[in-house]
Amino acid sequence: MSVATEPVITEQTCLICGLENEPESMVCAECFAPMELAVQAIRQQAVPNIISVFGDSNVGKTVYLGMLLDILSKHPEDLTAVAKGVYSIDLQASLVMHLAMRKFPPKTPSEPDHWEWVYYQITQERAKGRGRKQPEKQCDLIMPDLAGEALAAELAEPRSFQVIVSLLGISAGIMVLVDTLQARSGNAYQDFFALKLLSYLDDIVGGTRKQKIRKPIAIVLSKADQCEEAFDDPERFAKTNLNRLWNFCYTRLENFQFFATGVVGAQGYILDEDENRVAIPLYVEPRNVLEPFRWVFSRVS
Amino acid sequence: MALHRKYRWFYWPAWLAGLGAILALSNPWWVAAAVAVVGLVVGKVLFSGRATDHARAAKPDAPAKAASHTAPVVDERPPAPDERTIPGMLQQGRHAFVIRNRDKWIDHPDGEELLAHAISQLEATLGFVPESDVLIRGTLTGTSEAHDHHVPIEPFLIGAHTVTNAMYQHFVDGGGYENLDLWPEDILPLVLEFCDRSGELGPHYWTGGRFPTGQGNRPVVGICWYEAAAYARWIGQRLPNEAEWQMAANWRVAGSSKSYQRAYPWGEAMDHERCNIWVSGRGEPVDVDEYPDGGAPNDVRQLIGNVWEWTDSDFEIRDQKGEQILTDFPTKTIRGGAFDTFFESQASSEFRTGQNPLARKHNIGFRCALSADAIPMLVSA
Repeated sequence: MSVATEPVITEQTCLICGLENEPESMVCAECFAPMELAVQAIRQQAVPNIISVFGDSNVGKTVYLGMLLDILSKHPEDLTAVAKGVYSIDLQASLVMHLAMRKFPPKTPSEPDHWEWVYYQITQERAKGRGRKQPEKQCDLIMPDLAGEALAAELAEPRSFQVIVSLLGISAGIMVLVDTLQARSGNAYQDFFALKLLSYLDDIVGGTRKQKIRKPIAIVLSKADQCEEAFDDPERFAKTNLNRLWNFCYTRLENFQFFATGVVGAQGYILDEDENRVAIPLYVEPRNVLEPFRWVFSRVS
Repeated sequence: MALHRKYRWFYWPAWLAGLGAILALSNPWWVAAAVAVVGLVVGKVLFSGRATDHARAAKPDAPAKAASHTAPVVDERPPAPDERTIPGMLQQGRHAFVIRNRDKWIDHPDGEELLAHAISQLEATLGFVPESDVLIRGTLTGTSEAHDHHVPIEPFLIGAHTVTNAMYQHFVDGGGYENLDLWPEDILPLVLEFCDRSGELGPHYWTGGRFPTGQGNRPVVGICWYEAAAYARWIGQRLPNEAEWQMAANWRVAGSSKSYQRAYPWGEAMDHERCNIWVSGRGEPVDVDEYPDGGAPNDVRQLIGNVWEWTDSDFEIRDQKGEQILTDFPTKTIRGGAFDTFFESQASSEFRTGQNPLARKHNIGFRCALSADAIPMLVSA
């Protein structure tokens, strides 16, 4: 859709919450999303879709998103991705440099004005049809790297982080990350956290009792590199180890799928001064990183 | 002669037993009974082994019920060898085992001929690596020399290729998982859990005790360190330690500068057309004899990429500050990188990493090794 025919979007319009900001604002006064996103959308003459990655703190959102962007920027298979705006490269660059040094990136700060946002143009080649190639699918995408602590705070006290409320409402597709190793160990926290997140989403965008949530939602079992059972059959793993979440999906979601993914092959750790574990990636081998994104992207108009 | 099942009614011992039954109607009765018993016993002795072979050979065409609907079957099915004979063991790829136990059979009339045959076959599967010493990096990034150490290497032989699915099939069919001598005592309770997707003993990604169709020449994966070590023992070899593996990959010449060792078997620079890693774009393991240009000077191939390789060494490493990296489980060193190794720097001869010895992953295989003094005649040949 051309921005020229959509005068409601200006360089002062926040693409996330819709607030009209003061000229020269760097971030939205309401939700702290960068105004650069609106500038880029006007420059590209497109209304971008938003795909968000949600999940608990330490579930691996930054690693997943950064690796996804780096893989996309290498033009895998049928997808071509081009970063728009220098700021869009920061997240993947930071991740790659940390992993190459066998470190994980630092935790994403809770403050929304410190989050990394990326703006990408994605082109997906369509499979060849009967004798002729189908037209390409093109889409502008915005993906934020939000902090798990902020999400947890929002779930505990709704409307404390306006940006999260707005993102849940306007995201065209959602990826919910769940820590596979915690789930396998019998820790129900991941199950409850994802359940709360989807219940909250149901409150925001759900309709009546009979109307299910129609957004495409990928349930992504992260850190599955140490759990082959999750790769063998992600849905069966979820049914067994995340049963509350699995039941909710079948009850309230219309368009969902389970995936398993991993970025590192093995982890070690060192102990810091306070005897806390600091995880160390021993080597990097992305596995099924693209599949959840491809599934969501194919369902985003 | 292998008779098809539908012709079994031709088996003469069955006729003999039937004749005995007819004679049972006549006198004396004990003659009839004796004929029947002889017929049954002879039939049992002659055909029970054959029936077992039939069952084994027929297995790919008639997989276990649980696997019947997915049913990838062996296409490059080797003829079932008789593992009780020397030719049978050679057919299973157990050349080193046969040679190392030659005292038990060399007096056989064909002994010398069999020995020569075994040596020539073994030679074709191994590459000789000369004496040297290698520099093992002691830290994660390899930038701190304080924890590096030199390891002297005795001459040894290493598999020219990683072990393939077809080679490992012999181990599965030959009862390797049931052979208690091949497994450490403390791991025995877990061996029964080393199952494939259909619940039969075998690598994780197999079905019905068979490897996936068309993948006979690909490296076997989905095996843990214990399975790799058991296979190596079964064929009379062992896993290389990580210093040996590194020597095979960087081909360091004894006496050269201490700090000089090649990053790759072919030279100093990564070339993703000589190996199968992420940027090569293959996306899965390939046949073990691909990438001939990526071989070491002794034509040992695919040390870099395709699949990680288990070594016999425990994995210990420190961070840049010298802090020991801890893991939740004892870790074995894996080397070389795999088809999905993302960073080129992590698929080099020096890069060290580790994995849980019980992990049965999609991208870890192994190759075997042999000390040069284990079979001196091989090295002199």
